[in-house]
Amino acid sequence: MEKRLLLYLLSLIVIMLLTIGCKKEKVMEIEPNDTYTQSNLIAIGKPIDGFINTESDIDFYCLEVLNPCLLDINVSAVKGVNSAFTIWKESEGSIVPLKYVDDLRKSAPERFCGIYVENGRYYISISHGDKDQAVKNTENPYTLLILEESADGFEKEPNDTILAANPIQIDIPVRGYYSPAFNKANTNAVNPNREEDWFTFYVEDAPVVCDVELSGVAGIEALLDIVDAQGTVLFSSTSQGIGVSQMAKGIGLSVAGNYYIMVAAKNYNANNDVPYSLICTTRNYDNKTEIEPNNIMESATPMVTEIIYGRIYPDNDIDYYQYMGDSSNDVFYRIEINPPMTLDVVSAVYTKKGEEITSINNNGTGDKEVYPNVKLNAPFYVKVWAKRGQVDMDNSYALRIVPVQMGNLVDSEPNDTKEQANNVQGTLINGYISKKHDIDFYVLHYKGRQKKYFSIKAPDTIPISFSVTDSLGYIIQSITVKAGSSNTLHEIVDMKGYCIVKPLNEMYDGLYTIEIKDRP
Amino acid sequence: MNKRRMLILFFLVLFIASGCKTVPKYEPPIEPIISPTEVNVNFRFIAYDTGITTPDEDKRCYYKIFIDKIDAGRTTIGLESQKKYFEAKLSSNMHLIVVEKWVLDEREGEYKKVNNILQPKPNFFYFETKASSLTELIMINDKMVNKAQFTVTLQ
Repeated sequence: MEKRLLLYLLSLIVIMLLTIGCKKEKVMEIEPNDTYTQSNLIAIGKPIDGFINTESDIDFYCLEVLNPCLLDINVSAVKGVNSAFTIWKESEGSIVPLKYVDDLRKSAPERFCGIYVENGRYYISISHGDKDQAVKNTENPYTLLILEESADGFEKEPNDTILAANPIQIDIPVRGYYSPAFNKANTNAVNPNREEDWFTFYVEDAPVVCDVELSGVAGIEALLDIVDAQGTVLFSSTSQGIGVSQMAKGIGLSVAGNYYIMVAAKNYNANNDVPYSLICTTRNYDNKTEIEPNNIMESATPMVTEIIYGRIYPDNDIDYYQYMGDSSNDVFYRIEINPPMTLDVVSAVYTKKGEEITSINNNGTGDKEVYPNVKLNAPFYVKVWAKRGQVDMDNSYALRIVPVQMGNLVDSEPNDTKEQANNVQGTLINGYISKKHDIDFYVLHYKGRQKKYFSIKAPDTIPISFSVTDSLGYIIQSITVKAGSSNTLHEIVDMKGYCIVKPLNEMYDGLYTIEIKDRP
Repeated sequence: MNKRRMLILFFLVLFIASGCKTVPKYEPPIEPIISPTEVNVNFRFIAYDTGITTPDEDKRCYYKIFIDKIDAGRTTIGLESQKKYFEAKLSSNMHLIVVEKWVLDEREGEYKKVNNILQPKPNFFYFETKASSLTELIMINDKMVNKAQFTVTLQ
């Protein structure tokens, strides 16, 4: 009987102990704590409960930090209340705000990861958020919990401005969070109050080409900018979609110094659970790839080799190249652009003064664009872009420019009208069907009336029509010449006349020859 | 008062002059003037039309020339009312000339052969040439009735 009583008592003690052990240690805020001088002292890892007692209630908590670390600050949801918190740092007897955290939702928790703290005193003030009408809730408390994280490999908030940018090392990745913090100091008219993370890296040996890769995070449409020390934006990403990574490839860094990277989320979206990863790498410039930014003529990539590679990325990317060649005389050049299968590239050629000579846009997606005979005085510019909405982050196009070594090449574009006709000096004309539906005009000048015999050889794949006109450019006689064949025509030229060559199919890049003789 | 008038006149002239810039530049057709002393020929053909009542009817044209049934070339180009020339060095003999009228289709930008119904009638003529003298054949075509008259002279 005594044994049974003892067993009963023991069981009761065990149950009591278990009950006591399972009971959460509950620490409540002590009001008034409406100012930082009245703040409640809290510790890392120890939760504390509090109430939004009134519409204007602010609860201040104080945290003593002994070792530098990152903090993960959590405030649990309060039913019907859009709660928010501010992180403050004590400085010279006062406090300065570091972060204002508000995800703008009612009945939702608030969290901020990655705030970097050093030895000293920090404050967290919890209040009603700015968005909704302030309400109190004296029945449901919030719980504030602060956890400690290692700072290794992570951003150190606040890094909201170029001046507060976190230094990063080349080739070493850094992680950070798309936090739901409003940066009230960000007065940018386009993105006011946007939470931005700024990083900086130093380039010692210039020029170099840098690549920056930002990993994708669920629910986030990432934005990436690269800026030089003067504030010039070298790269600005465009929309790639939610959860997709961003990449800046081949950004040319021409001078030694500090460069800056900005990371942000579009539409103020946040993800406190999954960090992004950012890595910056550099490589020596090999003269074979474009140097971004080359979106304007003034920052064109110099082209010193026959072939140069470039990418159309981000959306609406434009690439300018400056061809550095012999500038002594006008030379004919053959220009080819080999795009990846994903792009329909377009090109245009400009003189060194910026006057457009011609555009190149004959084919569709994945097809090569060619201009076989652009007559120019180097240096000149070539602009390459893709049809709207087309980008290819991974695959390059190849731009090739080679001088054309051919005698009697008279066809100097543009010569598509009578007014632009090329003057014929000798008796042999070599010309190209340079583009789809290319028309070539040549003007003949003779002393008096002369009967001339024209012998025309068409390109191998392009049938052509050949016409001779009167002095005003009205056609007197025309013949057709089959592809790869020859045909002849004789006509009297009354001192002045024009020859007109027209292709009879949609092919181009074909060489034709016209021989002008006095006798058959 | 005179100064003000002068100033107004000056600006008026300037305005008119700037307005004149839009007038298209006249490009005269280039037609060679053939002189027998310069060219060693013994046959000259001259053709022009009469019976043209309005400038709209007076079209740019030329005549294709067949001598002895062989394509010998064409006349110079001019308005139908203007004289158009063809010259050649022919053997001393009787020759047959056949002419074919081509008129500019301005819309198409090219010369087109005139419909057979509207070709000059007759469109042929027999003539004699000599080595030592110039045979000049003039064809006057009445465009109203498409009737041609040939006149031959020896110079």
